[in-house]
Amino acid sequence: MEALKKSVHSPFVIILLNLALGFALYGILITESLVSIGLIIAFIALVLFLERYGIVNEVFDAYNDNKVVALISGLLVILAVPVSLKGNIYIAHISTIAVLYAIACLGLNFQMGSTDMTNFAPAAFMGLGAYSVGVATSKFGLSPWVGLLAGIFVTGIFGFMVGLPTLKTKGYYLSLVTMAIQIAFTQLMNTIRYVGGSDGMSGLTKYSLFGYDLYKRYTFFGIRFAPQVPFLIVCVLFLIAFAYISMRVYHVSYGLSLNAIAQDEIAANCLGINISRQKLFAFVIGSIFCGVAGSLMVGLEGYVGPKSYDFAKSLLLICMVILGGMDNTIGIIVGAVFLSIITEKLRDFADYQQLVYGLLLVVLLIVRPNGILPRRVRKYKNLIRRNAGGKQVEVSTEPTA
Amino acid sequence: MSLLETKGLSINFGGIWAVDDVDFSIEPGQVFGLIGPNGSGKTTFLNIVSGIYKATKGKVFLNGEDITDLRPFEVFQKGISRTYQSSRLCWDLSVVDNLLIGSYTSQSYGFLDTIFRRNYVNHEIEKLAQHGLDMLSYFNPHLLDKRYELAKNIPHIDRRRIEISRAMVSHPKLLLLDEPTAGLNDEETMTMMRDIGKIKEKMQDIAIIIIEHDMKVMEHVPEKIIVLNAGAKIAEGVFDEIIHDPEVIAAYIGGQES
Ligand SMILES: Nc1ncnc2c1ncn2[C@@H]1O[C@H](COP(=O)(O)OP(=O)(O)OP(=O)(O)O)[C@@H](O)[C@H]1O
Ligand SMILES: [Mg+2]
Repeated sequence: MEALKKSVHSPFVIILLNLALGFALYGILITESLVSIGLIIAFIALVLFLERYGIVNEVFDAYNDNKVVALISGLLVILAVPVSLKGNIYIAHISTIAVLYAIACLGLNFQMGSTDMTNFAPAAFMGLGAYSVGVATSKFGLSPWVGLLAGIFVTGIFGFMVGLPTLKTKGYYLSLVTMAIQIAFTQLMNTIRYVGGSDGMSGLTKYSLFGYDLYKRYTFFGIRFAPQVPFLIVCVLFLIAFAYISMRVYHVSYGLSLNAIAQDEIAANCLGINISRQKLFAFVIGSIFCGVAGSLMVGLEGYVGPKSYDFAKSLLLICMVILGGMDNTIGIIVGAVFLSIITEKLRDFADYQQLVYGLLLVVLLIVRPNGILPRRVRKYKNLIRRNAGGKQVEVSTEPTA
Repeated sequence: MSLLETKGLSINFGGIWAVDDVDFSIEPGQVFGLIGPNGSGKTTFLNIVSGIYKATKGKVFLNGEDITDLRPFEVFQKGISRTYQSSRLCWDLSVVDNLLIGSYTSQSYGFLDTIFRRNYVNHEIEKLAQHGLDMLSYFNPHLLDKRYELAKNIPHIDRRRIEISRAMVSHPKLLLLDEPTAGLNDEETMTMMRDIGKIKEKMQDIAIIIIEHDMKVMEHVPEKIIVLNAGAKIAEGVFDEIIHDPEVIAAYIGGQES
């Protein structure tokens, strides 16, 4: 095991690991539902086993040490997955959903994971983003990108307004307030004629980029891609950008102050942290993430309706965050991707879908109460040890997130 | 003009005056002790000064500026920092993160900086982390090896040191220590006394108010002692005067009987 721990630090092993992860993802995506669920369980079991011996943490450190290699090879692998998907539109579709849920979960994490504020309304914010695109394209004839930008404003402002009452409430009360907001949102969208009531709006203009249709079949290097692949790639790029923002926020004083608030509000307040401002920050930035995910969701089917963003969807997002690992960016993406794929693959089980789903969740949370990849301790580079005389004694270099 | 001055400071909890008409003042560089029987209002006094409780009556001034109605984070930004009777560290954060929270207000980068100026921001944070660790190792160099351990896994006396270091990294003008030796044994109490002495060596201009039950600490550390009883200030002076003050003796005996 010690030898294994050492070996993961070589860039070559990192490339191999990325390839293996790519293959695992590919395998899970293309196999039949039963096989693919078996693969997921096997993968989780492997992670759990390796974690026992501290290898998961070692791998994380190794990725940090070899950031450039890890990033480039990881990107190539991620892009290779849709390449190998070729004509399979169904899988491109699942992948896009998984990626968009991951973005929404990263947003929800600012509130739930970092600040310990349960928010039962992330789907409502996705919905706001989606409806913004719907209204912008169908009522004003604007580009969906303009709708997405408008969605950022709308969700930001609503995030702020929802954040205001939560400054006064905590715990169960906060949960109730956000639940009420979620239910009010679904009810409102159901009744407002202008946005199509319970039918929603369909046939909406989808995204295009520099005049290129993102849903056409393109042929590159002799490979004919599924129609949705370009849009999937755009969504992946969004996820990468938002994951980077999440990691940065986690590492700096923004994330740390949110953690401090979660742990002890009075102490945080007495250390100069403006609690209200930071909580609002968590709500606004989180809502914007959810909103962008929702806006992009419209690009899947050109449809937006109240049922797509109801309470059940909020619960699903919450499960993804809890299962993946609160306040761990990579963990949350893993949780979102897994649960999205599982939800899709379980469709074949028809009546048993909910049962199997519930069982999986319970078992996972029993073996892993803190999620698949729990919160990690922040590491700082270049910390020097000084002895009493102020002289430097030992230099330690550690990876920084 | 004093560093900190309270005039007629009072607070009422459901009909009871927990702090009752307290006049108090301390100059830069002074170390005062605050004593009194259990429930005499010592912690409540600190809580009003640090903005956690709103005074019912009276005023708090810092360098002549009225800070009575400021919120806790604003009071901290004015230069008043504190520790607590029972530690309020962030238990699930590492030692170094706890220290970094103490320098939260010294971090001047904005949101866009964190995203687009990664190296600059990381460097700023590393400097502050280093500063925090230097402060902590001033009290106990061995704690450096535990910098990435969670605060909840640290021994009691070292938790106190982390808490004091966390309060000091922002270079406050006034440090409020609420029973820094609570829960420590005799030997640890002596160490803690030495540590508090070390604060003065490091920052000559800092003023400190210490709440303490241990008379050994009170005899050696503070220059002057203020005695509270049932919320009111009943005596003020050097240690020898205080322990012979009949009113103080009566308060302590009365407090023990009840
Ligand atoms: N938030 C509050 N609500 C109601 N009463 C309070 C509150 N805080 C303190 N008190 C009361 O005020 C009085 C003073 O309490 P305080 O904690 O300041 O005493 P203390 O001198 O610090 O005592 P100890 O030595 O036990 O720490 C007590 O009677 C206490 O019950
Ligand atoms: Mg007290």
